[in-house]
Amino acid sequence: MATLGKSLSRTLVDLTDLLLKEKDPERKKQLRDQHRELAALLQKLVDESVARDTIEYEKATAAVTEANDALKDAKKDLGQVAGAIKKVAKALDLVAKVAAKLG
Amino acid sequence: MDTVLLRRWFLAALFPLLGCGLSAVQRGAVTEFSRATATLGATTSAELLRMRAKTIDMNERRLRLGAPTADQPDHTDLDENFDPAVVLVRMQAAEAVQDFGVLLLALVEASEEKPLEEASDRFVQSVRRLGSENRRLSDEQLEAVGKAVQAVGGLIVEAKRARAVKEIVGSSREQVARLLELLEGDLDPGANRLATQYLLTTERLLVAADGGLEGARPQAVEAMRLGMEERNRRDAVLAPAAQAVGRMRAAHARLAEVLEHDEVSLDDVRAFGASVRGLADAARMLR
Repeated sequence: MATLGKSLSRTLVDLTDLLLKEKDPERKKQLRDQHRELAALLQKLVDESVARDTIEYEKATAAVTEANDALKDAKKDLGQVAGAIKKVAKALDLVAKVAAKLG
Repeated sequence: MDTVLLRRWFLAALFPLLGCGLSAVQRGAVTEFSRATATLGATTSAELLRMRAKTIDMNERRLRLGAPTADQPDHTDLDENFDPAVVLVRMQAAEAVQDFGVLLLALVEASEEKPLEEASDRFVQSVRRLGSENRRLSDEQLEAVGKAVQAVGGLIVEAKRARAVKEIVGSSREQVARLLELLEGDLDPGANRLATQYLLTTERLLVAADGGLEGARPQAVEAMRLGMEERNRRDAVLAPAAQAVGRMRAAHARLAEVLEHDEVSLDDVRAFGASVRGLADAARMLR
């Protein structure tokens, strides 16, 4: 389908170029009619694809958002390692103070 | 116990429990991929908005040219397939890709050195405050243990970082690939999706402007200029953007392999980075 779309798009652009260069009014009219027909056909294909993809986008975006949440959690987890070591150090600090008082 | 020996023993005892961090090659690949992904997400999002605005603009000009009814756009639907809901869903997708790059980079570059250093200092000071009867370590040995605590903390961080990056890049592979496939379709003027809508509107404007040129109407000249400008932009920005998204799909697959084996060629990741840099330059120039 993408290949057909590519060739239709290319043909439409080529038709525009021909039409812009053409001087003869009768041939210009023929090209204009062909351009209109081809554009209508291509428009139909686009309308169908865009509507179908919108549902697919919603599904795929939700899945990637979940991956992003996992990345946020992982980063938080790294910070927690340093935090855990700090907590141990703080606990030792308190032990040292208690030990000093008892001593 | 000898200070160096003490430190080595401490690290050696813990090392098998930690696993390994990312290698230099893996870190470099993730960094390059993440930066390019973030830039591509932002560029794609901006292009979607721009295509919508220009589609409305071009249809408005076609209406002003007063072409025959069959050649006129629907005046109640100037944005055609660029309905706000349609564009919003795609912008959210592009932003999710952008966030993926930014968050991956943040995870790889996050530095925990300072808090670990502070924790180590605090540990040393705490033990120093203990009464001499409770202390079995000299100041020198204490410093060594403090440094080992810091080093072990660093190893834990690196191991966790590596595990998280590998797991997330691996498990998100299919979903990210699907999203990129969809975005690539919308940026490719030949894929029957949004970029094709933009192409259709541009070509219809050029034909309408040509019809109005016979009377040398200034509006027709203006419309022709706009149509040609949008054509140039389509070739210079949209087609390369679609290619860059395609390369990102290949790079993402390669990245997952690099994280697994560390021996795979990084050509795909580098090609993706280079194409995004070129794309960002083109988009800036034609803005």
